[in-house]
Amino acid sequence: MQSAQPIIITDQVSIFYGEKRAIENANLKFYQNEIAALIGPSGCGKSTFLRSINRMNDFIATARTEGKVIVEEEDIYAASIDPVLVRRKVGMVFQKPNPFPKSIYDNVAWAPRKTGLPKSELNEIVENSLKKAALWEEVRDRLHQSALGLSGGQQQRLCIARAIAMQPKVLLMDEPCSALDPIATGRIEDLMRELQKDYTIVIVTHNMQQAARVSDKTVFFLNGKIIETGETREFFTRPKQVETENYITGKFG
Amino acid sequence: MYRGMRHTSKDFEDELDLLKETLLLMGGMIESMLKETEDALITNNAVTAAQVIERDSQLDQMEKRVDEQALQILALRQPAAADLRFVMASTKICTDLERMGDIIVNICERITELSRLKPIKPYEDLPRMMTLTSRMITQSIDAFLKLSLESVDLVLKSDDEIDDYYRKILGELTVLMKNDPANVDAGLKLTFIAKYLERMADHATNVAEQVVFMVKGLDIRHSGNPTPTP
Repeated sequence: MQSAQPIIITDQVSIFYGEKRAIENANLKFYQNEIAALIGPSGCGKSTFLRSINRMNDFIATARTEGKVIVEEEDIYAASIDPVLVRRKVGMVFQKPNPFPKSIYDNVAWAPRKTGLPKSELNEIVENSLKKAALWEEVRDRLHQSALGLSGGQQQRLCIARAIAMQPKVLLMDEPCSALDPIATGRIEDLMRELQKDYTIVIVTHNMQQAARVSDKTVFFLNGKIIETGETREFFTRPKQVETENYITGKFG
Repeated sequence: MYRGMRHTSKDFEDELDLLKETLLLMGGMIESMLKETEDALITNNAVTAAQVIERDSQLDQMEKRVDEQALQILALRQPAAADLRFVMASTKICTDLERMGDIIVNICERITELSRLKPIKPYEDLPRMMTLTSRMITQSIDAFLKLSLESVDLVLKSDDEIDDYYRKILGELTVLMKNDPANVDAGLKLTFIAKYLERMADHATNVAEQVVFMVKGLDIRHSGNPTPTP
């Protein structure tokens, strides 16, 4: 499934909050059509790292990023780069579903409309995005009703539809199922496998079984450092590092 | 559960310990059953053989207990890495131990039958083969208990020796049976016993191979090119 050329390369990435270094020299490669899971204990820096891939840390006043994050051969931290365009290419889905207090249609059409697309094209984008997010059949008859009336799982799929409406190359997911029940979680996980055909997905999850189920590659962070990266099947059966072994088997020293 | 670290969940730690304990109990029972079988063979004692046969049902129950404990851990704990390998290996080791119990029963049945027949020769290599098999089983259980690759090596090396014993005993018994058809009854039963011991050694080898999987995550089964025994 994965291509030979990485779509994302992080080169010696370090991220600071003020003086505190949250990520230290992270070197990773993510490939087209790959699902990569970032795991690690709370405070290990995995979400900070995830946010560096679409410059979401720019919104944190004290955050500072060193090193290079290259998306499609472009250093997204270069001075000439517009972060808004980066986020078009690298969409994000958050922990808690956060639909706008607008209609289902407007949630998906919101960003494409800003680019000045005509109504007919918007209709097409909304339908395609909702179909890709496996939500179309459930909402096609109530597109103009409030998105806040949807269930938690539907809201999260709407947020995924909203993220893919701009036709990104990469989807970042920050614990996308932590607020969902097991059935809604299962639907999102199935959806991720479908979305993988068109996108590269990087997911942060606290749920190790979820990482094992959905990802092709797993990265383990501890205290801001990458301890181990590996093919998920090997990672959860034969990890190479003792720290990984201890973490995934739930041990303490 | 090993490498010196404890699980955050004490219950999980206890469940893994209990699984290991049940397997060690099975192993201990096999060792003692085989020791008694050795005595029964040497002394031609059908009573001891019958007592050994009776104990097999306890092993069967333990096999079910191990499977149930492993099932619970898989369903409720979703183990990973070394824990997962341990649980997987446990279910396989448990099958090997239970099969060893069945084979001991077969040996004891033949001993009982032999006790009614005239001996055709003094036992020399057969008790030696039984002692070596017994040692392999002890070493394989020791390897499991201590996660010792040294003990694994000892088991794997002994398997060839067992095969050599088997071929030698089979050759001698074949000559005896050819020379005098009156030897066929007892000769066949002794041939069976030798074959059973060779099978037991194979099960001990399986246990040792599972220990390698547990410790290193390597599947070394079927990796060699052993000469098949007749």
